[in-house]
Amino acid sequence: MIKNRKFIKEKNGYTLIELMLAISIFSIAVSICVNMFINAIKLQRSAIAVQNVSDNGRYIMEIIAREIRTGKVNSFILNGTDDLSFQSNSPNRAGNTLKFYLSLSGDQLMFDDNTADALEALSVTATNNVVVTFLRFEIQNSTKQPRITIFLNVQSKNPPVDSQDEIYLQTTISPRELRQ
Amino acid sequence: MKKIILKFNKTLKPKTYNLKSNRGFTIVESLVAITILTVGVSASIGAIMSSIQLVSKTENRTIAVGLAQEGVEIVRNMRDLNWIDGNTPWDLGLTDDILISGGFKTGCVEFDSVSFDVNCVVGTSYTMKLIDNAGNLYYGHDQLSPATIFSRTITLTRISADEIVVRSLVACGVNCNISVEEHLFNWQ
Repeated sequence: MIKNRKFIKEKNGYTLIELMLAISIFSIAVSICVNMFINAIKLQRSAIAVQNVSDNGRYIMEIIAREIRTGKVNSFILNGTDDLSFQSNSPNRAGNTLKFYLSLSGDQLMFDDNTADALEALSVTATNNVVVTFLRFEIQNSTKQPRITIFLNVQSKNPPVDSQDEIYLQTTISPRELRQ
Repeated sequence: MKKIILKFNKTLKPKTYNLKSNRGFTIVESLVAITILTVGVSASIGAIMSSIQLVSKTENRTIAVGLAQEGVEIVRNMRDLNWIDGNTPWDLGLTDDILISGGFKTGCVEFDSVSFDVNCVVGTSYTMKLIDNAGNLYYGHDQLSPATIFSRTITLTRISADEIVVRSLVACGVNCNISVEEHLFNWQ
């Protein structure tokens, strides 16, 4: 039995210094990893914000541009700078008056595909993700062949500090139908 | 008792030998292993990071697409105005001014969101500035406003009497160019 105990004692344990060294190396490694992970999450969050903002901005531009381009419009009516309405004679609009405007709360782009019906205008953008803070239409050559410049600012809605994003978009559209 | 201990030792001995034969890693082996692991992990993390960061550049492309499209639309609008005004030729102010070799003609247009300018220099890229005119924001060429990373070149080339090519190129930073091309005809 005594011999046996001696045998167990021969197994060396760790000294305090070894243990502390091991723990410190481990904690340094872990903290580097955690730091990288947190950074990756932050970047991911801001990437999602960027994607939301540019997706919505592009969608707004596309939907307005398409209606203007194919609308066979006789006259564009601009009310202020952020409210554009016109009678569209394209086949699928069948003479309805369309209207694009900034919502009363000033943060959503509204599209009414028929101002005459009782249905309310709908927000073009994803209301939970982005706000449209600025919208401006400018019409030139309104008596000849008009061209409409659209300027737009889209921002992320209620963003955390590190994932705020905004985009300023602009394009100009000339209707395809030649005015007679 | 002695007998039991002997027996105990006998059964334990081979195990002890086995344990002893399991040698640990040498410092060189473990260093190599750690290095390979570190290189692998840091490379993959770097790739992930850069792919996430590149997402923000897509936004510049989105803006550039709008501006490039504007460049083409403005030329179409000028052609349409020529028709409405009864101007001849149909591409008046577009490609009729400058002769280049081969008999074809080249011109350019620049547009500051309010009016277009045909007195531009062919091939020159014009920096777009974010202009704040009493709360009215737009991209244009005002001298005082802050420059953006965007610049636009609109080039017009006549390829026959009734056809011109419009090329609208928007530069949007490093490795970021959006080019839009449209053929306009003398046909209503």
